[in-house]
Parts: sequence; C-alpha cells; structure tokens
Amino acid sequence: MARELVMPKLGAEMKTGRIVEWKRQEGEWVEEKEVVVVIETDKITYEVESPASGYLHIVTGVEEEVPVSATIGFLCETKEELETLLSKAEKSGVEAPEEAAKEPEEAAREPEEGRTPPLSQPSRAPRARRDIRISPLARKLAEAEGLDMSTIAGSGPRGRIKKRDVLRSMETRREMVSIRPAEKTAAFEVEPTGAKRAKAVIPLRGMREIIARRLYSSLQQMAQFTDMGEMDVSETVKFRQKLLEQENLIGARISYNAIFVKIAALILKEMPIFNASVVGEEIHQWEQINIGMALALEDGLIVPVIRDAERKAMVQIQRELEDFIERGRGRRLTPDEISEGTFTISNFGSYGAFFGTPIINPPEVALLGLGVIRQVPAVIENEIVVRWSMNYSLTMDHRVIDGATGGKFIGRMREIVASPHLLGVMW
Amino acid sequence: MAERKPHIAVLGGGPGGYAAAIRASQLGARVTLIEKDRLGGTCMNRGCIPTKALLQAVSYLDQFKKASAYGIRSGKITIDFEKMMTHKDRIVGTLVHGVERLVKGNGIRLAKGRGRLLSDREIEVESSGGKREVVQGDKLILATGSKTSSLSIPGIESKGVMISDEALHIDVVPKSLLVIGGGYIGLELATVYSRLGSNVIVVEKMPTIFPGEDEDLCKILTDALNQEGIEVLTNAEVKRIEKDGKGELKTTLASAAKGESVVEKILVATGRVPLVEEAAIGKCGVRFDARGVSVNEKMETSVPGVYAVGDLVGGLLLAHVAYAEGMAAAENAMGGESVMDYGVVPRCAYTLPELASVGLSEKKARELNRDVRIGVFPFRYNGRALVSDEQAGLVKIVADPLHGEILGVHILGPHATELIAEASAIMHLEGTMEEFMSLIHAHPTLSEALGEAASDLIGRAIHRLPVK
Repeated sequence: MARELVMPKLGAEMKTGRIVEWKRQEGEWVEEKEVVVVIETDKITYEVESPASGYLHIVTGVEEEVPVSATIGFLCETKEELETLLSKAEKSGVEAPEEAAKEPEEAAREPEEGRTPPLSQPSRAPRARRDIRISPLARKLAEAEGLDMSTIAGSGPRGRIKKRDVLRSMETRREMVSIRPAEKTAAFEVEPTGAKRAKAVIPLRGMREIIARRLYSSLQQMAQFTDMGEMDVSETVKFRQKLLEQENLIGARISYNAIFVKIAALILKEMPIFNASVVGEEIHQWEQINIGMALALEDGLIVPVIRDAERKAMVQIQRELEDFIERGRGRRLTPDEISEGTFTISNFGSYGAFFGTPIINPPEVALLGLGVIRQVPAVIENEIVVRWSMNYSLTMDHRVIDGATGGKFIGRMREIVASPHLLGVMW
Repeated sequence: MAERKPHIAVLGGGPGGYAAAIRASQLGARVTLIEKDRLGGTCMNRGCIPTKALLQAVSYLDQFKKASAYGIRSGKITIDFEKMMTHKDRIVGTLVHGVERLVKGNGIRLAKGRGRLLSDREIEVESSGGKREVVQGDKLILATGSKTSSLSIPGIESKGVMISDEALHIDVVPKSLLVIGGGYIGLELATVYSRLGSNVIVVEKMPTIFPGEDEDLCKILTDALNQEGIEVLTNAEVKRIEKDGKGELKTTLASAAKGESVVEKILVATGRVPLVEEAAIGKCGVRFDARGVSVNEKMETSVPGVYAVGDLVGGLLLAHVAYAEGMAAAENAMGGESVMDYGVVPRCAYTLPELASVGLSEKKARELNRDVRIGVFPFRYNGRALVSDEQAGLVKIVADPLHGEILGVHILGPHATELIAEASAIMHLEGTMEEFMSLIHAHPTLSEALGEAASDLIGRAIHRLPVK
C-alpha cells in the first residue's frame, strides 16, 4: 500500500512550504529515513526524511508551494503500485491513491477542494500570536503570501489590517524583487559602448529574498538611529578568563556571546521599552525576553532565538548557542527557533569590525551590535594603561526610544560590564 | 486672540447637503445651509420616501389577499386616493419637519432661497421675495442634486406624459400606463400603478431590467412582474409619441415584441442628470462633465476648498451614498482626511418581491477574472417565508474560493432591502466564506437563507439538496 509523503509542519505558525529540491528521482527506490526532499519555509530549509521505504512518486514539483499536510509524493511498495498510480494520475489529472474515499458527487461539485480549508474541524480563525488586529480576509491573504502580519501597518479602525494593507505590503515586496533571472538571449543584445553589463544575475530567492524584504521594510517602517561608543570591558575579560579556567566544572566554554546575552536580558528586564514592538498604534512591551543572536551563514544570515534569556544560566545559554550555530550552518533550524524574538544581538566583532549601523530585526525596536574586543591605551588617574575595550552600536527605533533612554541602556551596560561578578548577586 | 469658528456654506438641503451641514456643525463649524425648497431634497419630497409610502399602501392589498389563506376574510376592498395622498404627504411632512429640527438643533443657519455661485467662496442667495444676500464661506460644499433627464423623443411634451414627481400624486388610476425605463424608479412606480389596477407596460432599452444587477435575479423578477400583469419589454425603445383621436397616447416602439402601444398615461423614468447649470457651479472654475462635477476621493472638486457630494457628482445616485459623501466632505472641509470607499454600497429596489444587492454580480466578477463560486438558497425552502407566504425569490452569494472573499450578495425576496445589511456588514468587515457560513442565524427568520446560501458555496446547505 502506498505511503503518502506530506509537507511537514515544522512550527506552530507554519502554514505553507516550498519544495527546494527532490533528493531522489521519480521512480527511484528510497529507504526509510533517507533524506528524500528539501523543503523551505520562512528562512529555514529543511531536509525531510522518508517515512517509509518505497518507489518514489513525485506529486509536487520544485518551486511549488503547498499548504502544510498537503501530499507532495508517494512511496509505493511495488513497481506495479507505482505504475497504477502513474496511470491514474494521467487519466484523471488528479493524484488519487486507491484508498481515497471521495464521494463522486462531492468530487464533481468541488474541483477546487485543494484550497478550501478542511471543514471537518470547526472553522474558527486561529488566534494570532500577539493578537494582531486583522480582518479574516486579510489574514488569509497574508498567510498565503507568507507575510509576517506584525510587519504590516493597518489602515482600518484602530490599526486593523485590511485586505488593501496586505496588498500594499505585497506591492512593496514585488517592487524590491525586480532582479530577473538571466535571459538566455541576452548575449546577443546590442548595447551601446560604455553601458554597464551585468557580470552575473542572481535572482532574489529564498533566504536572500526574505532578508531583502525584511530589512528593507524594517528601514521603511521605523525611525532608526544608532548610538555608538566604546566601553571598558577589562573586568568582563577577566571574568571570562576565570570561567574558561573552570570549563570542566561548568561543562562548557562560556563565550562573550553568552555573557552579553545574559547582560542584555538583565537590562531588558529593567528597561522593558527595549523589549517591545509597535503594533498598529500601540507599543506592546513583551513579557518574555527572547534574545536573538545574529548568525552569519555562507550566503546569508539567520537569527536563532534564546527564549526567556533572563531565566537561563549562562551555561544553558552557551549550550543553546552552540547548538544553534551547528544546526544553523547545516540549515537544520526550525521556524520556531527563529521566531518570537524580542531583541537581537549582533556580534560583528567576531569578524573584526569595530562599529556598525545594524538594522533592527522587525518587529523589534532595538538591536545591540558588539564590536571586536581589543586592547587599547587608556588614561586612568593621569596614567596611560592598557585596558580591554569594546565598541558598541546600539540601533533603536526612535518612534519608541529616545536618545536619552538609549544612553541609559548603555550606561547600565557599562555598570554591569565593569562588575560582571555581581551578575546574579546584586541583579 | 480667540480662534473664530470656520464658516462652511452648504448649497442644497437634500440628504448630501443636510448630512454635511450637521457633520460640519458637530465638528465645530459655523454652518449656513442654503435651500430653495423644502429640506430633505428629492429623496424625502419626491423620491425615496413618497414612493415607499405608495408601495407600502399597495402591499396591504397583497396582505388582504394572503390573509384569506389563514381564514381571515375581509369585505370588498375600497381605495380612498385622497386619504392615501394625504397620508403619504403627512409622512413626508413629518420627516421634513424632523430635518428642520435637526438643522435648527445643530445651530445651523438656514438660508431659504435659490443659491448661485459667485466665486469659489461666495454664494448669492435669492429668496422667493426677491431679497438677496451673499453667503461667504471659508469652505463650500455643493449638494444641488439632480433632476429627471429629458428625452428627445418626438411628442414627449404631450399631455399625459409625466415624470416621477408628478406620478407620485395619484387621484385617479389611469387605465393603462407605459413606463419608459426599467430601472429602480420605473419598476417601483410600475408596481404601484399595476397593483392599483392599471395595465402597465415597461419599455427598457437594455437587454434586461436593472442592467448591472445580477442576471439570474433579474430574470426571476421579470417573470414575477409579468405574472402580476406588468408587461416588460426589453431591448425596446419608444420612438415617437402621438395623441390619437380618443385623447390617448399612441407610442411607436422599436421592439421585436411589439410595434406600438396605446396608453392613457406615460411615465418617463430613464434616469437623472446633475443640477450643474442652475447653480452656476461652473462660475468658480469647478470642473464637470455630463456625468456631474468631478471630485477626488476626498470629495474635493478641482477648486481647493470647494467640495461636491451626492447626485451632483454622479456615480450611484443613492441617498445613502450622498449621506456618506456629505459626511466625508464635511470632515475634510474641517481639516480631516476622510476618504470615500465605495466598496460596500447596497442597492435596493422596492419592487414586490424586493431586490437588493451589494458588491459584484456573478457576471462582473467573472469579467474581472476572479475565480468564482456561487451559493444559492431559494426562499421557498425557508420556513419563515412559507409562514408569511412570501416564497418567491432567492439569496445568491458570489465568492472567490481562493481566500473565501465574499465578492457580492444578491437577494430577491421578502424584506431583501433589510436582509442585505447583514451581507454589507460581513463584506465591510472583510469576513470570508468561513465566517459567513458559521454565523448562527435565529430561527425561524428570513435571514437564515443567507447562512444557507453561504453554506451552499461548498455544497453544505442543510435545507436543500445539492444541485447536481
């Protein structure tokens, strides 16, 4: 009996997925647990293991997007079964395994059944995370387009998102994705001398497209400014040194990333305005402190999130970070792991940068960029000494946070960084 | 220095005008409302209200007939036309008086007289006594309305040819009546006259009555009209009108069905034109064309500070559109940013059965390349309709199955003009098929037919078997 291969649900909020690559050909034998197809959703590409052994019959093609739980293929026990499936598919134009019990009149009546929601469950619109005000129609449209509803400005009463707002959002996305894949005949086009010629044309797809869209819309929607400066991190360097010496006892090598996640979490608890989002015409300060750590990938960027960072010990944070890095590089993070962030840290010091103008990760309102930690000459009590210094670049949404408040954040950070051993003692 | 209130001058006291005046006053403006006749405009005095009153009167004749099914018998039915007219006029009078009180109660100054534009900020008002005054406004809102369009048919000036205003006054029922125009006004008055005993024939130029409305419903309504004795000729035109020897009107028709018709009276109901010339609106440079004054979505004309609303700007010549436009114009004149959204505007015909619709017809939806799914529920399967013996008609919903968007709802049947409000609400809130079909409707009511039609969109109506 043929086993169905379906689009997996990789996260609570996942509604659709796209086929990136079939790892096996039509008709090929696949073993159970072998990776048979790679799918993509949001920024995640995910390798799907086959649920059973069998001859593969492909239903959904590459680049096609289907809803979660939709059938994307079959695994047939025998070659005969595969042939029966193929001939059925040819005849009716509808892929239907033998045991599908569709009443003939229902099938005739509803040729478009694929897209209507299953009405065996009571059809209640799922409650959006963070209670986004949005009309039922606009929600369906946004979900079908894979748009993050929290980034859409609503023009309805009290900021309610309406269909036209979603359409406008889609327009913005379309305007940005204007790079077309190279046309095959381009080589013979006559061009005036002096005109630029494209050396390569890269379509904006997948992760690149998502990054392009999100960060562009981030700058469009917010009034971002960056407070830059440097702080003396000598005590923190000493602190970390001590932690490294006790690596075996702790069970992990605590990195600066883990330390700064913990520091940031503490400050966010004291200054919740940095742990917020603008929703419609309101500022929502979030209960949870979920800190995303920007992770550079070969061809892009991903931000896995440490949830409830203020409640976790540094060793737990460190372990989570190490796991994220490993799986992130292997493209095996789940959508849940890169969502629900409330604040982001970007450690560009890790590739030697001093300062930056980081762009806020919507719908957050701030992003802390950390530069390289290095030794510098400093003046203390009229003497020149060698100290460890770190540059910071804190980008904030000026709609929500003013310069003075930003200064307060940095001030607090300076305090903690000067006495890191008091983490968990006084604060 | 105390800020003086902005002065808004409103030209025309019909629905568009008085709504604008009241809204402006609510927003703190000093308002002068100019009206040459009675407040309430065409709607209250010569349109909506008096026609509905007459339709109500003839619907009672229907009720007496239906009552006998319940064993309740009445004697011979007599009609006192004088009483009917008095009562109708009293209703109109009450409403007009109501508007007068609203205008006064909102501190609006009523300038009685004919208004004419002098510039983009000045209106000259000439009262019936000859007195003139110049009203100067910081902003102007023009709402002069419309009048019946005239036809250039030879013989159109003959005695016995009337327009809707005159047709509303009935002292004697003509033996026969020819109505030129199969739209709202024509068919509603055709219904009144037919039920009062006239032999009525309706001549419509287009292939269907109510061109623009859902074809299926128009066909059923045409049949219903035919059945009650109103002859409906479509793809037909009146070419000439002549008085014959007996004093009757002989009309020559261009129609496949009939070459001519001899009737006692003729009613012209082919449409209305905006009143632009009369108020010298062109004087201040406001742009207009045959359809009316041009305005942007904020109801502002080509001249900044001058707004126009209602029938004067063309579009859908409906009182409720005028109300909405009037309020938007007032808000914008007072510094607001209100934008008119014509997406959800119900259209109602008070024929018997009533016809009401909102949104796109099936045909229009397909023309716009929308994916279309239809849900239908006839009233004959509705318990409440059976109880009141009003089973003709149906509810038809047009939806786009992709996201379940409700594109249009069309109702032919009892109280369609009230029931349409539910459909408008759902479309206004951008509810989809799912919300519509899961909404619980009280039983037994006519409104259940809407929920059932919604379920029929996916073949899941309970009270009808799926159509194969």
